[in-house]
Amino acid sequence: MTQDTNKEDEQWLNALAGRTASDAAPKVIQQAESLRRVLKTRNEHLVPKADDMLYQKLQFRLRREGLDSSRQGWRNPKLWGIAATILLCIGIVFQMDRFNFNGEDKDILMGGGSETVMIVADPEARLAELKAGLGLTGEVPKVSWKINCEIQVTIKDTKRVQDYLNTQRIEPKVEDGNAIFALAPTSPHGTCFWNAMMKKFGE
Amino acid sequence: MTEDDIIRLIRTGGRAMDAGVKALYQSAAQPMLRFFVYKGVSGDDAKDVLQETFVKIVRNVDSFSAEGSAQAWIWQIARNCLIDHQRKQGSLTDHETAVNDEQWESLEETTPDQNAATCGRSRSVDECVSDGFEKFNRVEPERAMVLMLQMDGSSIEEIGNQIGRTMVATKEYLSQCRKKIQPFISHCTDLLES
Repeated sequence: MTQDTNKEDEQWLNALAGRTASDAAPKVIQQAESLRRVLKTRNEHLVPKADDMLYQKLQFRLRREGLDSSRQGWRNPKLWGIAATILLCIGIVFQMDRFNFNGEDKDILMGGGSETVMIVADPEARLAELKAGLGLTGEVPKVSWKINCEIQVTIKDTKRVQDYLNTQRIEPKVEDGNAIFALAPTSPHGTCFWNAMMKKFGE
Repeated sequence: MTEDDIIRLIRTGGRAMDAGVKALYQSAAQPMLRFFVYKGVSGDDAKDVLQETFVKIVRNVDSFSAEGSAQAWIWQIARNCLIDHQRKQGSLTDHETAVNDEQWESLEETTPDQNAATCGRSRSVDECVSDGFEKFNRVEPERAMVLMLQMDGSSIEEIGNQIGRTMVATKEYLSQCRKKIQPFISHCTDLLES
């Protein structure tokens, strides 16, 4: 009996869904089909259609809520990757600048502390003045350009050289009979590396 | 495309999110509109509740746990949005407790005769069934809705997700729905025999 009822329920529900079983009792099918027709007609009038216009309204609403694709780019892992790379590059540039281009911290960071570094507004102009002065001592300075914007001057350590450098208030580091000092700009710029390379090739 | 794929697309963001929303609209918007209307919401309000549901799905997509069913999660949000709407409208009632078992017995005894009295032989079977269904819908809107979902061809799983029941419980519920509607419409087909 229960099995029959279950089967009848199943047949009735199938007929309601538009799937009619051939072995079902006519009365069961008739009722379910009638109910199906009634519900279909009823719903055609009541249920709105999920059409393109409604979809456009939904898109507009999502945009208004800040949930559209243009504002959701932050969810994209690729964009996160690009942003992280840019931040990393900026960080590296800042760190390089801090470690290599800051004249004030140089002695500590380089661990030496013995080389004299003069911070000047225009190292090239100052170098020209010093070269002219040192030329009068009878010695020829050796000049080298570094990628951190420093200009290193090496000259034979004689009394006349020391006297001249004293007049310029420069106390050079003396090593292997040479007086060594460097000139660094007050504000390093990105072209130092290329300048140094050009000078090196020029040498 | 499954609901899991759709959720994944929406989570990705950007153009993929657009594609996910479109796919979700194509697969779920019409069933949701039907569901809201079957639950007594007007057509215009059903559109509003649909928008609210989509906004919440997109906004909360990260809170979906991959361990659960995406379809069940989506329908849970739809049900919650419907409840919020009904609360705002002040129309939230507990349909399942509206009629208790004793009241049902009483209904089963009295309703057929009353319905038979209103259904004359001159009226068609469909008109009689229609009247009976409207009466049934007033006392048992949840069951009426489930019968409408069944009529639409929704699967047991889909119906279960929409009413928040397991598949086994949904099957049993559907059988009960058939029994419960009989007092309202069985006399209509009896008219044909007589």
